[in-house]
Amino acid sequence: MSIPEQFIQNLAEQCEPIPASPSPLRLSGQWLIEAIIYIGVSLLYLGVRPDIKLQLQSPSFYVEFFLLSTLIIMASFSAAALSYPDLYQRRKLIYLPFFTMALLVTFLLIQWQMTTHVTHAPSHTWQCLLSITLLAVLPAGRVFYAIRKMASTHYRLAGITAMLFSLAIGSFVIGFSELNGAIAHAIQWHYLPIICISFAGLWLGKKYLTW
Amino acid sequence: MPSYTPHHFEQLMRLSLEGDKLAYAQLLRDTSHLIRPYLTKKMHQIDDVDDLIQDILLSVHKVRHTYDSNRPYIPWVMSITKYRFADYLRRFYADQLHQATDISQVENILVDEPTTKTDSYECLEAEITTLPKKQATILTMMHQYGFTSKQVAEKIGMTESAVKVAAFRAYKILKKKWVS
Repeated sequence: MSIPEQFIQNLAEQCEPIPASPSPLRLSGQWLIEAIIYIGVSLLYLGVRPDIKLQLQSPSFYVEFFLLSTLIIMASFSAAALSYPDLYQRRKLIYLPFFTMALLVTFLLIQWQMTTHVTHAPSHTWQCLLSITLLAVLPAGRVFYAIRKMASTHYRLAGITAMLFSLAIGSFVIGFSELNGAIAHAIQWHYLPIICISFAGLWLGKKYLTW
Repeated sequence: MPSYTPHHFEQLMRLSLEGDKLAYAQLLRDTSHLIRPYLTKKMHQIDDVDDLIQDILLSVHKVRHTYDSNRPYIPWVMSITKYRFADYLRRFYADQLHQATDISQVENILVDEPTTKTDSYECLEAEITTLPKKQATILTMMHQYGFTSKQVAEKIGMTESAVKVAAFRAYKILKKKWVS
């Protein structure tokens, strides 16, 4: 038994020069530039938190947003690598966003334990989560569309990573625009829910990233 | 499997991405030779191997833009192969479920139902007549006429639990007789 020659000839007839896809580094770089523009525009619209000068003097604020930025970068690279059938042969790197997320949550939990005095505890609760989710819709759509044009063989993992990337962007914007001095609020209504919502990527990945 | 020179596949793929039809046809032929042993080893239905290889070659054709010519070809094509193989398995087992025969369609050709008792009422009729009258009546009504214990109780003016106890005692006597 062998593959019919006619079948191979038919495919060969359709062979035209095609440009190769950008590398994951370039692809994620492109998404990150778009993310920076999106964050900037969102902050222009929502406004920066009034206590930003005070926060910029706090090392924990820097660490939190450094980790959040790292999460966005790692998730974008991971999602880009996951859009290749062979993960661009960078299998180990695709788990980095999950490691970064764990680091961020651990840091916040330690901060929460060490906090003795809370200033500017927000009165709202789920509204934060709703805002983060709404802010994440556009980046998620963009990344899902880009992955769909490629050929992900790990579509569920790609779905989670894309969700994590877009929700982290939403958290970044809300973190810079919302007047919040309570770590417990950030953990409860910003970070833990985004981990839970990211799991919707399992379903979204199966629905939109299969080929 | 034929042996290939180092970077054989990478060179063919590079030429294919530039639009070389001959190189592309050769690449597809060699790819089918490369993945055939892997699939033959994994699949029970040998007839499906060719169909699956064609499916994989179509996938390679569809997503060839995701291949980076600076990277090895074999891991790339094997990822696609494994992905399509998993797809095949999902379809295969889903079909197996759809094609499963309902028991009602074959019950007429089955020799016997395994749960049916082979000893019918007729076999026990002679033994039942030797039982006390009340117990015999209860077993006859339950097993010959198919009444439930509740219906028997209503007909002979006993409580349901008394009927059950009488039936249980009758079974015990019959069992003793059969064993001995």
